Amino acid sequence: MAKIEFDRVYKNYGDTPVLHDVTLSIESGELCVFVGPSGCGKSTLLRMVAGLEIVSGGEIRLAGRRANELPPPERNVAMVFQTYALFPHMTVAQNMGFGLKIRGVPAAARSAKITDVAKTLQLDGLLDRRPAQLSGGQRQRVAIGRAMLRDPDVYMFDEPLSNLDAALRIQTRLEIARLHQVTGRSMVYVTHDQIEAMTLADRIIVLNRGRVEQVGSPMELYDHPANIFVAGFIGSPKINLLEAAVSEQGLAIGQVHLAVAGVGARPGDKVTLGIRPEHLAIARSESEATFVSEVALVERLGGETLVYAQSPVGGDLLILKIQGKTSLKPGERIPVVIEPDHLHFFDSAGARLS
Amino acid sequence: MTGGAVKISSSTGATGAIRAGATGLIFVAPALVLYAAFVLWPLASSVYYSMTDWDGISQARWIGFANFERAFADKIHLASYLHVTLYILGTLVFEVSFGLFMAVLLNSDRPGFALLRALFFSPVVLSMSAAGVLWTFVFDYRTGIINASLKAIGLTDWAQPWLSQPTTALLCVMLVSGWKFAGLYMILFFAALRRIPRHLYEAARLEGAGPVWSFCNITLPLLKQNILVAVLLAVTGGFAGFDLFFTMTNGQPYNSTEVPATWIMKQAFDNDQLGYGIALTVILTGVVCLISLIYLRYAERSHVVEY
Repeated sequence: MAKIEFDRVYKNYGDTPVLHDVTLSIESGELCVFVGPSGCGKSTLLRMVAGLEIVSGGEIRLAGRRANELPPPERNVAMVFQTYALFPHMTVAQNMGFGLKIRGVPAAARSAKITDVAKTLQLDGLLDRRPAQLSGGQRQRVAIGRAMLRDPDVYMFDEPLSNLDAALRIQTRLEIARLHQVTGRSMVYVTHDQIEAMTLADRIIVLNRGRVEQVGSPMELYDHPANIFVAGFIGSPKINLLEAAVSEQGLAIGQVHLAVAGVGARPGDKVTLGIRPEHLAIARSESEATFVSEVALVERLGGETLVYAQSPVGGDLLILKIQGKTSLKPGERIPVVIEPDHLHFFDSAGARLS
Repeated sequence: MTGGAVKISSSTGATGAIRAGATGLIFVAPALVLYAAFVLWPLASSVYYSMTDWDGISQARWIGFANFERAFADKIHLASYLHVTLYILGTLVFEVSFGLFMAVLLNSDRPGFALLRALFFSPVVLSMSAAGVLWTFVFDYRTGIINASLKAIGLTDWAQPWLSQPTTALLCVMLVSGWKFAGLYMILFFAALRRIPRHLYEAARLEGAGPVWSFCNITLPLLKQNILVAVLLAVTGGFAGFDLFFTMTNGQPYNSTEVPATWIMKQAFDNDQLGYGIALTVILTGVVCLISLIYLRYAERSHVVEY
């Protein structure tokens, strides 16, 4: 196991900066997820840990040792690529055991280890097949098997589920979580899918435009997003963001007045109000409602229903998450109530207000 | 009743098949006529004239297999196959292998590499005759740049009559052929190299594979199909080799660079023995076809890599 530390790490491609001043640490045995939109630098950060990218500035330490100049094999990290990176001309067994072969492990010992890991991953009947003869999920398991045979200090996953269908994604996600439990090794996982991040991570690192926006546990990020970007990125369906003005009585959201305290801004200041979809509810009567809105769309997911309704300030539709089923139809008017205890306030620069 | 119905149906089916066949024949007829006129007829004529004593002007005289008997007793003709085999081995080294080496070396997106690839490819667009004449000047004993350079750096004893001695003439032709065609194979391999996913090399690097291991265990196996095609092109092209030999040495000195094509030309047109020349051509065609068929049979059996 190894602790991974980033100390003021920078990365540039020519004159183009990709990562700015990244300072964070990943504890031994932790499953840390880098999440962010495409091009935010999360894969670059991962590849710098693996030694596949040069560090432009700062220091990366593995188990307390400076790793900037260490060749990839000496870092003892294993990586599972998005495209699996399986050798198409080799069999499953050869793919899994090629690292052992390079390290000079005798054929008998190699074969025993491959068989052992193949059994764990339910690949034992496929060892003589080539990657082209496998399904996407099987290929991904071969890639994971290859990583397991490396017995690394750190497992790294670069968007490993992107090429799988929805059902296989959930299954493979569970397998990765189980692998983490069984091995107890440090794992760094890159994804742009916030659901993967929320379900897998001990800690999530949210990246945007090459900067760390927030680091925390999934629920910390969900309940206390540091800024509008994190609030918008974490959570599915997305958080509702409404422009509002601070008043003596609370907040003015268009023509709607909301009595709240502790916004953290002075009367007259413009703020953005964030409300998670589950914190908007349909009131029993209009007298109990914060405002009345019109239903635009209803998505029935079985156990819960998403209602898209007109916002009091126009623009994007509001999303309400309702437990159970509903008979609501587009065009109906509904009394909406905002739960004041679960609101998020952001200043005009997007930072969280106390 | 049922039997009658079946009979009628069967008869209708047979007529229909004949009609469909006839319609198909009408569609392929133009291609068949062209193929027969420009491939089959010349081929059949060649086989016929190979069994005649003919100077190309007077009436051809049927002599059976006499030309073939003569060909298999013709020492220069037999030696020409040895020379062409050596030449083909040379092209496999100087063209295919060196082309592959250059493709791997120049497989980069860094500035200047595209220009280097273009420069390396540029001899391919030059005509063979021009290349032959150009290199004849380069190899010239008295005025050539090679000997002049050797003399300039004090290696006067190393200066050789490169194209005028049997020990070096064939090697010189091989080198020029390599200079001319290595760029073609480089482009062929370069295109194939670009198709190999970068992640494969990265996965190997993480496991501790060096460049040599990666080349032998990733690049070469994944280029197998392209290498097979390149070798086939080099072998068949080698047998057809004529222009460079004609312009650089014309089979000399002492027939040491004689290859089947130059010997055929000499027999057919210099010695006015068109019948014998055609017989030599038929033999060459048979040899090339046989080698190509064996090779393609082997190549088809090899595993095609799917990514």
